[in-house]
Amino acid sequence: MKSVKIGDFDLQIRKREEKGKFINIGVVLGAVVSSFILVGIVISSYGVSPIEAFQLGFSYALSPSGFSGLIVRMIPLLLVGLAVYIPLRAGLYNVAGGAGIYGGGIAAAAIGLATPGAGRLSLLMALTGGAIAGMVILAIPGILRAYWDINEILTTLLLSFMFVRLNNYAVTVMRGEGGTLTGEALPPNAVSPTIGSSSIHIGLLIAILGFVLAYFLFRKTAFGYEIDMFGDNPTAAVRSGINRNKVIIGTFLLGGLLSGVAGASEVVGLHGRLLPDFSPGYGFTAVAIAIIGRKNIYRVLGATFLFAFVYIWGARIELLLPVPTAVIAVFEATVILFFLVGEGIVNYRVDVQKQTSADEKEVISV
Amino acid sequence: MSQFISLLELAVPATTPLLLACLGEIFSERSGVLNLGIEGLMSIGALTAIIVVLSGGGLWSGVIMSMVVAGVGALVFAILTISLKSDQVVSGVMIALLGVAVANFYGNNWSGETITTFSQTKLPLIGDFLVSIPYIGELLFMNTPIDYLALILVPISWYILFRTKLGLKITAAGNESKAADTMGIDPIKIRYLTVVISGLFAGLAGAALSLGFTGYWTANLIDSRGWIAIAIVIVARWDPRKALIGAFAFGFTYSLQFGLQGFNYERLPLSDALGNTYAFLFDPIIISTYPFVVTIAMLVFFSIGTNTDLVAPQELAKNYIREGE
Repeated sequence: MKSVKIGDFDLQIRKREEKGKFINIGVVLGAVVSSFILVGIVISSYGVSPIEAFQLGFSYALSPSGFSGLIVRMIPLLLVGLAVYIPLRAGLYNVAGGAGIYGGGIAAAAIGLATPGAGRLSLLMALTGGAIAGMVILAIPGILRAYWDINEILTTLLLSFMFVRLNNYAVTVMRGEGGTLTGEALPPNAVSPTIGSSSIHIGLLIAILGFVLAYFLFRKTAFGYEIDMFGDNPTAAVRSGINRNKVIIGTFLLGGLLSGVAGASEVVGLHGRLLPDFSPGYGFTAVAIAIIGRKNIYRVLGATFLFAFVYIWGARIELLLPVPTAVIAVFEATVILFFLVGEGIVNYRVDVQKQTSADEKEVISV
Repeated sequence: MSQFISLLELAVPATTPLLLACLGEIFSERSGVLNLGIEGLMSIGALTAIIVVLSGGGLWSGVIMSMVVAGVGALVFAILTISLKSDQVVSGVMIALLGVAVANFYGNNWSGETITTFSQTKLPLIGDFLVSIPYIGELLFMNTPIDYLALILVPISWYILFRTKLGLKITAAGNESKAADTMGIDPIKIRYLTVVISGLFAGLAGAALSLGFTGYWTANLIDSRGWIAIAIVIVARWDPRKALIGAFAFGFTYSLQFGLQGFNYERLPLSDALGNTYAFLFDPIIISTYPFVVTIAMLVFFSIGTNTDLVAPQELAKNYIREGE
């Protein structure tokens, strides 16, 4: 317990025993608002009025095309967010969202290009191939962590950096006629249909499936329960008979499945071809989403919405105003840092005691 | 042979930033704080150094300012994790992300302008003799002052960590923080100190890259060197002397990126299949993935059969919470 005396007041910092009902959501909102203010200051250093930037972004996000853009952004973010969220509940950090996305994307594009005569089956094979590729890639950090205790944060990060480059290489291999900077367009059968004139594609269905899968995993299955137990206390979990390797490798395989299919659906759904750098930092955003999600899958959904919004807002102001895209990453990092500050602060309460008379103290709690 | 020597020539400037970042990280990890923000701190350090020099400051004032800025960044991380008890991994990743993003954001205005980097000099007194050693003399002993500084910091760091009272206190804070606290060593103060030290080193590492090697700023200049430095800490078993070897091995791998691109395998008498394999292996993009492959391989190689738990700081990445706090 710390105590600071200011004049007649005696400030005491102690651990907060009970938290109010709305304090958690208050922390998130506080972090979001503070980040918007900070990003506003950053933008204004570029000589751009932050008010104008916010208005531009918000009015676009609320327009019909902005809304469809929002859904399209939410698809990969939700899938990769869940790919980080599931291992995180076991206390494991999967920072390889990017590796899964690119691995899945490369596999999907290769399968799509190689099977022009397979009819609609081509699309299904591309998506499945993407999922399998993601699982194979994420099995590596899972196995290394399970059997030799090699730090999964570093291996997943290094894999991400590697696959950004491998994707660029794959693009050069799949380059079509005319020497464009993108991969060759996939045959129509391998490309997902879209809803009406919007660009909402089959990924929406997959993302909903992924969400349901994660929901049931933690609500209904024994494996979900094992993951949670392991996340709370690995030593106690192992002592009570939970298979450590199964939890570690299992959560990483699920993460690989989800991030792989996210990359595949971007390729067959949104772009129709392999593009260089088609994941603008989704792997890192996924970490932010999973952190805000903590132990609640609805919060994951909410965080996905928030960051999808930030992406289309950032893309819009980058298009119309002279502001670099890095502003999205600035927002992402600050929102999490403010969130952590908020969480740190609400764990403590400040009791202010005022010396009203010689031996009486009036307690004002904050 | 000449090809090999030109590879080695690039290995030294590629080693220095890795070594400096790694030394700083050893300080913070030995005291129990996993500072994953290095990549971001190096980014803002490298940019600050370039801005100072382009604005008319000297090279050394660029170095000092980069250390100050990265030190302040590390202080933010320290407040988050040590005082507010936030998760070290998440805070670190976000500081890294923020540092890279802020540097890319503000660096936009400064990219494309080149400065005169630190020039290569001989060591005083013994320099002439060392440079005259055939083959390796000129490439190992004809370097920038920052390279020599990094080299000297290896024994200094080792001495501080293993032979002084402060070093013992740092080890105590990272292994037995509770016991240390009852003995009158404040783990909180020690950890603040080491995290700021890791920030100063990261800033210096960034400046070594921008002022000692590239001479310009470009987006993502650090190119994940900060993360590799953290991996080297594990490979080097939290020992500055082994960090020198590890950093040089990785510096050499980085230099392959530049060296191998000029390698003409087409003149070799190869079958088609082998030729295609070479074409793949020597593709510039594939070469750029080598540092990551090598890092993962090294992590595996040094982890199998040994018990990392025995040498790693026991309370690494665990926040210290005083009783009743």
